[in-house]
Amino acid sequence: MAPKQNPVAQYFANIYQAVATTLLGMKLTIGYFFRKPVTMLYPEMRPVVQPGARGLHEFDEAKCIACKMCMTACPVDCLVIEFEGRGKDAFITRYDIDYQKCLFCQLCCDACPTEGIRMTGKWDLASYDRAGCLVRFARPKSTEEIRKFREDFARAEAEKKRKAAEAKAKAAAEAKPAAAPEPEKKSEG
Amino acid sequence: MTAIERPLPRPELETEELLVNMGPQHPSTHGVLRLVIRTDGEMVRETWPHIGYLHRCFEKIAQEVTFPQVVPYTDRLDYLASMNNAHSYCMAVERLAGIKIPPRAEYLRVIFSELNRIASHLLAFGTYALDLGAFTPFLYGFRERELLLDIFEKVSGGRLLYHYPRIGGVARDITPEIAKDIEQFIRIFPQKWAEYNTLLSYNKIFIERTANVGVILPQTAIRYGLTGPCLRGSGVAYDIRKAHPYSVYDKVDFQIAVGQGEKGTVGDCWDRYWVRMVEMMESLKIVDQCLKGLPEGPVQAKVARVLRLPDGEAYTRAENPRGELGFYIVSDKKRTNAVRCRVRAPSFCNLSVTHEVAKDCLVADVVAIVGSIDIVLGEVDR
Amino acid sequence: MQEFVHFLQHDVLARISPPLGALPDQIVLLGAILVGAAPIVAFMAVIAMAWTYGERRIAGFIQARYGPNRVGPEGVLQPLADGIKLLAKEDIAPAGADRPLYELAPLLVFVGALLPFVALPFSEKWVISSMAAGVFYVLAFEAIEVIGIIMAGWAPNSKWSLYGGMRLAAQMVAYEIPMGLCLLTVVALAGTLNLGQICQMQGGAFGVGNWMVWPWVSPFATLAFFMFFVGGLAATKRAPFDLPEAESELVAGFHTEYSGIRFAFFFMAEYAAMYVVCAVATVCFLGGWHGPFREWLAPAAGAPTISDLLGKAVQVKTADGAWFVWANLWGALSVLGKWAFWKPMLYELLGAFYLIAKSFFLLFVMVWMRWTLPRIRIDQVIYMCLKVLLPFSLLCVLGAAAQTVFTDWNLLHWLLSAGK
Repeated sequence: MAPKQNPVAQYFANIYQAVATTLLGMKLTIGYFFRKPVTMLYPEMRPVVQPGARGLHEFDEAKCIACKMCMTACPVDCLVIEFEGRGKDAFITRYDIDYQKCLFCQLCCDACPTEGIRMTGKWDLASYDRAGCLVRFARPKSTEEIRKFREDFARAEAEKKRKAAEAKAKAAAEAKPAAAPEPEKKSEG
Repeated sequence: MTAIERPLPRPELETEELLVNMGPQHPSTHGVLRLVIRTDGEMVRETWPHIGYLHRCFEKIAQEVTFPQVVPYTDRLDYLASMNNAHSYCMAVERLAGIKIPPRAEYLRVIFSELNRIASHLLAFGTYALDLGAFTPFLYGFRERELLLDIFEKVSGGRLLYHYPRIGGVARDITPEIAKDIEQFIRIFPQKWAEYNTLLSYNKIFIERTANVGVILPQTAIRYGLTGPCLRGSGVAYDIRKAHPYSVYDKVDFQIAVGQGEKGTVGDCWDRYWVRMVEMMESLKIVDQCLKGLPEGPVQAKVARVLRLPDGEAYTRAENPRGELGFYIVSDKKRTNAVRCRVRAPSFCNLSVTHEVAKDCLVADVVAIVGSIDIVLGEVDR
Repeated sequence: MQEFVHFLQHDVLARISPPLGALPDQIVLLGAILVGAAPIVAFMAVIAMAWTYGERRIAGFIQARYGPNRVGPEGVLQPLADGIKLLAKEDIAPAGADRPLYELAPLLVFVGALLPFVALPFSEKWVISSMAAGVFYVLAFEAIEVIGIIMAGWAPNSKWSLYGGMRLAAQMVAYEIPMGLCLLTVVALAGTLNLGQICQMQGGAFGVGNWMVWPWVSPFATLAFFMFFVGGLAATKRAPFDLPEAESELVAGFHTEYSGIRFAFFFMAEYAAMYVVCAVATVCFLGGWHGPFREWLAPAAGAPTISDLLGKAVQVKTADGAWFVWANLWGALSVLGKWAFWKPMLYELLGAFYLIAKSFFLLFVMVWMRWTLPRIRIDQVIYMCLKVLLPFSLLCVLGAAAQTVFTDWNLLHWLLSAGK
């Protein structure tokens, strides 16, 4: 605490300080009055979004392998995937992110093994209604398309299965004479 | 407490006490705090803080989602100090899992925690000025905070909720460009800090409004479990970074800012405010040292994809801008989420002192006191 | 003013259109008052609008941002947009409000802010009523606002409004005293209560030499000027004395519950009151309409006045019972083409420019202070009034009185004699 002063001196010191500090402050503010503002005029000037900003997602359907890692990683379950088939050739019928729930935590992107889902610097999220917050990233497919893929996939699956069975039989046939101890390993892949 | 009885010579002149609801929608309650004040004219006889308007079930959520998924939620506790929150939570998980994080990650965590402390204190400074009726410091504070936010955006991708410290390290390494930005900030900030002092700290009106107002005695502060600037403002030199050093705080040199009653009594609003101002400069020192001593290496330790912690419990605490933020986690080795997660939120404990301090003062003082305690409702209600 | 209206009626109007000239004096005077009041209200509205824009723009630049710059070039039409918005807004009254008081309060505040303009000179001759007790009148009618604001605080049945109203009552009533005493300092030095005369004697060298505020005229007046300005800040509830509407404490104080046009009335009244305080300070301390180079336009002694010109221009004889004499109308209008008419006009206009410019500078300082300083607490406001301003303003009055008595230096006599 400041040393006790005699009240009269304190009285005048208070007045002096009040005037002096006020003037100092005013000197500072008038300095800024004549300087250029630091803000930007928004719609004309857009802020520079830094690389690596966590904004709206970007989804690359070609890369997606439908492993559902992003879905499991999401803390708020805002991500929904539906697909036909599996693996590299998976046919993504639905990849929705509900931005009403999204935390922009990037956990989905970190979890993705193929960088199929990434975050971009896009940050303009406004939409006129709630439906606008639900973004469908997958290319919309017609039922026709889906049915075709389903049939193709089933055929391919069957083909694969047949081939696998053949290979197995063949391997078994080859292995029998040699009595090799590795019958099933390779056939899966 | 009973009403203050005063014998009145003329009973017809008796005045009535007024019960006023300050908030939850009020310009100076820092969010959705509701203060019920009992006033006799301009004199406030009693203040009751009512909370719970921003309750988002953090603890329950933290028990439902997996450990890495909790980290973005911790950002939303004290949303002005996301780096610090995540830092504390990650330490708790790492302690339970026995993860040793790389030194470079430790340094980066400290650098960004301290920068976030500056950003948070800048906002506290600005809003406090706003509470006391000065508008301009708020915008000046935001101007400098913007520089920090740009740095945070570069390093983490977010401007408010960074999700930067992760279990086992940090999300990304810093680039030379970011390091340069931080150095630039360290260079220009002291001058701006001096401007704040001219504009606000040493302004006579500001001193008159805050000095000798809302004095929290050291014993009161300890009894109520205050931490952070509120405790140090009362003259108790307790800082977790010094008392129980975590991360690399034992390797850096800095001072604990303590209120000394420079303008009035120890523990008044000005002291709490001043502790924050001094802490900004101390944080700057820490950042400078950490940046110079930043070791090379990876920034992320190997962490299992599906993290299961062994049976056990851990409590870690960190010095947040607002005080001690503690995470208490009980884990079960069969589960990927916590059995119990409890948060010791500094704002919550600090707010509890309001009832004790904000009484028998003026309405304007209540605003000054609540402002000087500097709460974030996101953390009070969780 | 009354003489001029009389002259217009009997010597000009009567010659242009005798039946009109024969109207009763009272009716013509009433008409003249209504015609005269319109520019005053317009002036007040323009000042309020200009300064809502100015305040926000200045605040913007002080805070290193732009401020309103969207509506019109550089945002100058912003107040117009705001005005339209306020007019279009729903007029809401709280359920428990005391309706008559609630509706009357903004009008009373508005009228209180408007009335001082009657005695306030805009230039040497441009004054509605050059009344002998002008200083007293201005102070008295500015105080009417208090009643309106207490009503506004009480009527909406809101606790915040009540706080605001009570704070303002305490503050304004308290600050009336030092403000009055500061003006009294000037009155003591000048020896008159007439604002026009107080201003008239402050010319001096270059039109700036004899301003009351200069220490060589009177050190007491210098001190009084600063105290008057501080008191004016408090009386117009400007920061750092804006407690009645302190938004971080009282939400919006006495106008919390007002919306739409009623709120606009409060808003306009605030800026008008600010202008009045600044204009009074200018007239009493800063030389009012005096300024450099104005003397060049000064009418020579014996130069014809506007009345003379007009009187000469309408000399066409009229036949008895004529309704309208065109020749006299053209004569009256031909005056507009004469330099002898425009020279004194310009002289007045320059005076008005100086007066308004000085007032605007003081307004700028008010705004500048608002965006720099934190708000004072209510007890400190009263402390400052009673323990700082009051003793010092008393000192000023005493000092000025002593200066007048002991140095035998009655400014009025001295300056008037020096002018001869």
